[in-house]
This record gives sequence, C-alpha cells and structure tokens, in this order.
Amino acid sequence: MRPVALPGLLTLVLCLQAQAAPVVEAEPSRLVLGPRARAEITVRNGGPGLRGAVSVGTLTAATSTDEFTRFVWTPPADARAPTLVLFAFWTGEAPTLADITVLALPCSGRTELAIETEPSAQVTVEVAGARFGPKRADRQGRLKMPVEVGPHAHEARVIAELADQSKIRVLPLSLPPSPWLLALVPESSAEGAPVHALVVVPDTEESAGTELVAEGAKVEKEQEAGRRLLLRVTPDRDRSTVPMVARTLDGSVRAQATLEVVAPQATVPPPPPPPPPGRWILGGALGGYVGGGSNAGPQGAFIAGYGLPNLPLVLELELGIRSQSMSVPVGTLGTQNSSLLVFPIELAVRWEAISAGNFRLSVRGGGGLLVGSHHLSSNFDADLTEAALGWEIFAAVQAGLQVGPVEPYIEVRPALSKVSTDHLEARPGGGMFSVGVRGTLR
Amino acid sequence: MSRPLPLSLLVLALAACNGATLSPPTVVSVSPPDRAASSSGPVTVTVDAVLPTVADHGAQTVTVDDRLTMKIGPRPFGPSHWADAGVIADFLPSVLPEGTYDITVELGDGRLATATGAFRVTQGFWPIGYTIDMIGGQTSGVPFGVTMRAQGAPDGGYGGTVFLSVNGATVSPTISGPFNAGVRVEVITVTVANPGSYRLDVSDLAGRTGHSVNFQVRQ
Repeated sequence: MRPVALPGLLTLVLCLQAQAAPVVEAEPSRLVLGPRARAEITVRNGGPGLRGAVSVGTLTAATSTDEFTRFVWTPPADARAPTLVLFAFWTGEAPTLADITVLALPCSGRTELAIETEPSAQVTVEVAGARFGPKRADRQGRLKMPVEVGPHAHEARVIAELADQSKIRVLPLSLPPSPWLLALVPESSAEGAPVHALVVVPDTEESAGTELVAEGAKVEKEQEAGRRLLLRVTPDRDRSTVPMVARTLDGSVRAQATLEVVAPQATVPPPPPPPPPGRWILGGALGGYVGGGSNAGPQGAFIAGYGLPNLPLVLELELGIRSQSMSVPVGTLGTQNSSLLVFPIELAVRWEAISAGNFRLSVRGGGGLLVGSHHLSSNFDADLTEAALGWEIFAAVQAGLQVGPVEPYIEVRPALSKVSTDHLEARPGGGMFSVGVRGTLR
Repeated sequence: MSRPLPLSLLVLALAACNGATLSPPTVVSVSPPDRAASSSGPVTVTVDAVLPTVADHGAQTVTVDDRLTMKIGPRPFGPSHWADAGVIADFLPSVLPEGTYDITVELGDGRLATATGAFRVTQGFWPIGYTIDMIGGQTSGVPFGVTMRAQGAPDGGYGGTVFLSVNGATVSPTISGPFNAGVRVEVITVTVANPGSYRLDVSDLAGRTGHSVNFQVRQ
C-alpha cells in the first residue's frame, strides 16, 4: 500500500504574532526524496526585504510579484534518508521570533525492509500509518518489502498471515536525526558588528536541550520560543571568520555555519566619468518663420548629427522644408499667385553649452543651400514652374529637457537667407521658431 | 587639392538649374480664319504665353511686362499690351489683298511667335465705284460727317472699307469704317495749312474710286 497523502496544501504558520510575518505555503506539502524531488515554496506578505533560510538543500527564488515570492527548493543530490526540512522566512535585517515564519516539509525516503517470518506467509508492513504489501514470503520465510519511511516514523509493524492465524511483529526503525536550521541575520558582520543567529530545532529531535557554540565570538540569547532560539553573536575583535555549530547538550552537532566578518573598505575615490564617446543623434523639428512681407510660412526639418568624442560638439546635417506664397492683384490684368517651396540642405555645429541635470542649452551655427521650386500662376497668363536656388547662414539657441531616451527642445533661429531667379526675389528665413525632439542611437 | 572640385561642380550644377527660360508665346486660334478681301470686321486671335513676371515676396509686389505687338501679315493688329487673358480682338479693314498671311506676336521681352499662314484672304466682290454726298463748308481740324455710297455692289451691298485722302491736306482717319449695305457715314477731320477749296477722294483695294465735290475749308 502506498501512504495516504494529506489533502490540499499544508500551511504552517508557527508564529502566534504573525501579523507582520510572511505567510508560507509548500506545494507539495510532503514529498519523497529522489532525483526529481522538488517543492515550490510560496511566500506572501514578504515585502521588498524578504529573507529566507533552509536547513538542508537549495532554496532559489523563482518568481516575484507584488503579492508573492515563489521559491524552488531542491534537496541535495544524494539525499535519500527521511528528513524534516525546515524553512524560515522574515523581512528585514533585525527580526524577532514573532516576525519569523517557519515551515516544516516532511521528506520521506525509499528503502527495502528485510523481513524474516513464517514460510510462505502473506506479509503486510505498516509504517507511520501507511501500509505496504501484501507480499508473500519465500519457503524460508524471507522477503524484502519496499517501503517509504517518513521523518516521524519510529517503527514498522510487520503483519504475517498464514492460513487462519496472523502474527504481528514490531521492528524499530533507526533514522538519522533531521538537521537543524541555523541562519545568520545578516549573513555577514560588517566590521565586527553583532548579528542575529536563528536556530530552529525540528520536532523530530529526540535529544533535549539546544546550544549554539561560536569560536571567537560572544553568544547571547535574545529570545526563545519552544524549540526556536534567536541569539546575538558578537565577533571578537580582529576575527575575520567565526565558525559556529548548533548542537544538542550531549555535543551532537546538528547544524553549522561560518560568519564572515567584513573588514572596512578603504575609501577609494570613484573614477572620473569616462569621456562621452562618439554618438549618432537623430531628430526632427516643426515650426515657422517670418522674414518680412510674404517671406513667412511653416517649416520642418530632419536632423542627423554626430557627437564628437570627448567634446560637447555635435556636427549636424539638416534637411528641411519650407513653404511660402502670396497673391497680388496686377493692374487690370488680374491676380498673380507666387508660391515657393524650399528644401534647405545645411550643415551646422551645435555646442552643448550647458547641461544641468536634465536641462540642456545648446548654441548652433551653420549654413547651406536652399534648393526650391517656384510656381507662378494667374488668371491672365500661363503658369510657370522654375527651379530656385539660394543660400542661408544662421545662428540658433536651443533649450532642451532630457526625458528618458529622447530630448524635446525648442529653438530660436535668426537666419540670413536669399533665393532669387529672373522671376523671384525671396528671403525664406529671417526669424525662425521650432519645436523638436531628438534621441541618441544606442 | 582636388577635393573641392566635386563640391564646386555640385554648386555649378545647382546654379545651372536655377530659374527657367520662358517658352515663346503660342497663337492658339484665329477666328475667323479667312475672309473675303472686300469685307471687313472683327478678328479674334487667342494667344497663350507666360508674361515676363518678377515676384518680390519681401515687397509683396509683382511686376508684369505686358507689352504686346501683333500683326496679321504687314498689318498691325490689336492693342499694344496684353489684354483679356490673351484673347486679342480688333477690327480688320479690307486692306489685305487676296492671299495667305502669317500672324506674328511679340512680347515685351522679345519672345516671338509666328503662326504661318494662319489667316487667309479670299477673292473680293467689289463695287464699281463710290459717290460722296455734298459736303458743306468746314473748319480745319474740326470733325464733320460725310456719307459715302458704294455703287454697283453685289447682293447685300458692300461691307468693306475705303481709303480716305484729301489732296493738299491731311485727313483722319485714312481708312473708313465698314460700309453697311453699301453706305458708310464717317466722321472725318481735315486739316489744311491754307484755307481754300478741297476734295475728298476715296478708293478701295481693287482700285475703284470716288470723290466729293469741292468744299471750302477755312482756318
């Protein structure tokens, strides 16, 4: 027979004053040791400073949300003997016993029980309420019965049935004691400062009395509740490590740990920040311009820049677009329309003059060609479209604010520009105002 | 040393693309496209052109050169400036002999268009002569009316014009308006250097003539 599993989850909250203590659950609530043995430990009410310790095996944080933190516990690879694994969880670096939640996870071991009984008897074995068998003995009355033994088992009842009689024999089981939980809070001592030592004794422990022995440290008991102890360990001066053991009063060691004493670190000035490397910057801006008369309209630009290494200078290529138009009556002929579309192709240097926190103030200067298209139309003669070429030089001031990976900015730009043909005189510049955004390519 | 060359070439290439050469004007249509040599009346020539224009966006002004010179054959036609979106209409007297004529258009910047053989003058049907009603005494330089009559015109009467002249004086106009059903009342001005007796002579393209009786012109 197989052992009967307890239904559902087992929640063990051993602290009476557990309002601030984490709530801990294990899934499964008991398990059989083997190569695939593992358990998920879910901790709620943990908070950001959640700490955990385990008496044996490895405890690894797997998932963390605002509501819970989930750990995965795996036993040592060679663990086969039944044991009661202890978990302890708390928050912060100075817990009391009331702040600590302890969870015990029973782990059973598989073994074969060698039985000698009457020849050809039908044998059943009971261990801690679980039944195994029946299995028939050979003609010499021998058989081997596979059983699972939990950490709380003390004996096995062998029931041999032959014909109309049955015999019951009790075999004592000798199980190794389960290890204790010994945790240090914090895990190391900063410059010899005292730490807390938590000792939790499993309820399978038969020996009475508990003591913590530390080599090169002073041990003081702070709290005791049942079989749990919270002690204060103060390393002696000049100690770099403090080995300690938790043992029974007869000297049988149940857990051991080593406290590291961290020496004060010499103050090393932080290295100067590395000079900014070369970087590519892309951006765009929209706005308008006013240059007198009909030299006014909307404008936009795409800017590609390269920030020079070690210098607060950015070389920029600006490709823009501007538009302006006018409509004028001409004597008795009619109305003449003139529209100009300009594509500035300009080079600029931007000096990142001030950088305070997220705020940036830059000064720009540059110039280039204005390539455009001029269109004449009227209600008295034919239309004309012609290419238009001009130039521009400008200076500008930009104010920006770094927001995450991008920098929105505004720009005010006085510009001197001219575009002329046989049929056009225009200055598509003057005073310009733009709102833009740029970002550095990573 | 040679690095600036491509940039220079680029600037030159861009500069070469600057502006536009205006296309010559085009005679789109002539209405009517032909006419008898002995008739007169309005002719409409439609021209398509880009006028020489300079738009100054700073001053918000547009300057347009609207000068125009148009001829049908050797005959000047239309106003001396662009009008009515290029639809040029004018009165054409019966002064062109039978034949085919070019229409030429010249804009103020010298751009020229010729519509070869666009207007054709066909054979005319002329009267045999002209009479002029009695003209009383006149004052030099003061307009007065005269009534001219075409004699022996074909059906419907003569519809052309005649040349006017006064021997020893100047007369204006030198070409009359169109005859209507063989009659034309024309207001003319005769200017003389010396008072005296003068005679108004008329003639047409076919060589038919007529004249008034002598009339006194005083200063």
